[in-house]
Amino acid sequence: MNDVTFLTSNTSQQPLGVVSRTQDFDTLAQRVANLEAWLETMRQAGGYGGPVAHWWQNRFRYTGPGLDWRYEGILIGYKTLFQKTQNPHWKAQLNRAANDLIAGQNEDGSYRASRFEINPGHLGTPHEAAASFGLLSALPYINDKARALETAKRNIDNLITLLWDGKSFNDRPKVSGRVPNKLATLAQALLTLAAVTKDFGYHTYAKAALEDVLRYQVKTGASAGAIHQYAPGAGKGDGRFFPYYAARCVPPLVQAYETFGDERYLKAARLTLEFLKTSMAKDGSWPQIIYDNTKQASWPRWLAGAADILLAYQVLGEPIPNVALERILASQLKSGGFPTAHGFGSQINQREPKGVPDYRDVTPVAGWNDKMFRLLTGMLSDKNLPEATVSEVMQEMTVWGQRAMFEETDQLFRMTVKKNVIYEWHKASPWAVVNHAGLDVR
Amino acid sequence: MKLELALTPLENLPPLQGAHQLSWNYLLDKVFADAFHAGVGTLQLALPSQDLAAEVELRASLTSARGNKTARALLGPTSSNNFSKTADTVYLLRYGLLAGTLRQPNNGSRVSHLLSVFTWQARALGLPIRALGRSPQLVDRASFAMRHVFASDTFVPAYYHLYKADLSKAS
Repeated sequence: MNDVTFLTSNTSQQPLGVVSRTQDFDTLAQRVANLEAWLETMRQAGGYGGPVAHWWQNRFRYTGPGLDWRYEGILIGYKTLFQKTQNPHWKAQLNRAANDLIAGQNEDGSYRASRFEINPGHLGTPHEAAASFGLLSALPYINDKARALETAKRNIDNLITLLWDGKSFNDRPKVSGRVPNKLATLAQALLTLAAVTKDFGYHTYAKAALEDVLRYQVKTGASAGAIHQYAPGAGKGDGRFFPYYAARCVPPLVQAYETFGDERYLKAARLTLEFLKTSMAKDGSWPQIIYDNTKQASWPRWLAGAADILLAYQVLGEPIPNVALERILASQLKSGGFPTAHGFGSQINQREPKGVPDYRDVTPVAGWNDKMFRLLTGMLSDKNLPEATVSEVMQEMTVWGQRAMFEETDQLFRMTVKKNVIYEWHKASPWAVVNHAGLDVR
Repeated sequence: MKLELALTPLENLPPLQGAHQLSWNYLLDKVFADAFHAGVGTLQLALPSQDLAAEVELRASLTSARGNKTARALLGPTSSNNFSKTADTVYLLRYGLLAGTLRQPNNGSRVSHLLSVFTWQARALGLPIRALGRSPQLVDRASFAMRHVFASDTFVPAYYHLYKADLSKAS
């Protein structure tokens, strides 16, 4: 197996360079150019829109901007592109994305429509923290730094006000509970805010959140390194281990180690990576959930979103499994976007998926593609990107067992059954036309 | 989209949590999406709970006006002088345990049924979920099965039914 090796910075997640045995820089640059062109088609007034397919819920009717975790990958991706190429276009793209958050901030500091798969709604977790982390990460290249910093600070202060219970952070105001991966994202935002403002009072909150990440990590046994998804009442973990969410804890843990020099954080990050290694399937995919009774929810398996798992390898300076990277890269659509997953149609019965993919598999989602954008921009050389070479997508799929066609142009998503339009989203529109109840399953 | 809001709290409204919260997400999204595509510029909305006001205002702020039509969504109690002008379209909500026993409007009626939400089938599938508590993988699967039949665009027994009347067709 050929793996992709990174030389990582010792102070941030951004790699200083990359050595690739299977993906030459030009091919990779073309993929990024196409992905960036696709992201551009997803813009509308107020930000990046589009439907959302997720494990928890779906949103195919609301297609307006989501000021959620998509801004983490988008802002960091554009920052990386600008750092590498010094092309002012990427700085302009970065500033436009930053302005979405600045303009979309509510009076209390929350972001408008920040709940991703349960949009529209505000106070999305970990979405607001992730978006603010993106904003803080891109701060050196934002034209109005003071306003951007004020936006991120107000947002994070609001999260503290509403979610802090005196010991750590709840997932919803006044509802006691811990979601470790979300705490990790919030901790990373807090650490970054403290570094920028020199207000080290934020460290107290970050440490409390990180203690919960450590507390809910399985230390020994077959699931060593796994992290409980949820702890109702801030008590015992729920025995649901998502490889994807475990991976999202790694960059914050590494940043915490770099900030405090506390070996426990690095050890926890490395143990998490061991869990990711042992839970990876031969084809380079990861099951959705491993339960503490050793049973699995095998499907769906992420495609675009799996970039966050590969990022965990990257920030720990370990080679990315090539089979995993190739699996995602091979799925890139002609439009430049990456599809969401494989096996959504098996979410209920958990049988091995066969044949034509589900509509949620095929649909590219801004809040998953940002993860590929962040990962791939980190792997590029300092050459400018080539012109994008994208085209329309026509792909067979199923909607709750019914054969249908998915069509994507730079203007729209359309789904049809025997020439009858069952779904149409014009990319400038905040609401899609849904003519099939199956496409509004939440 | 311009919003005119009339708020009359209903004491017997189920708390906006869990299945009822999800139901209201369906209902509000359907009203705003339908109004957007119909070219509505002003939405007059009667609401039964203060807790829904922020949800409605958010959707209005995210929904640009594509025309100058007026729609009225009677999702809570109202009186005729709540709103400034007549509406081209009226959305009407029926809810409660007996709502599922109401009949679907006849063909040719100016009233059409748009959405059934929190269907009895979903309620039935949701009942055993708590009993599966010791088996999280079965809880997850049962939850998704329940979600699959939670709403329908056909008239099926459900706690909430959303209707639409096109008044421009009135004789």
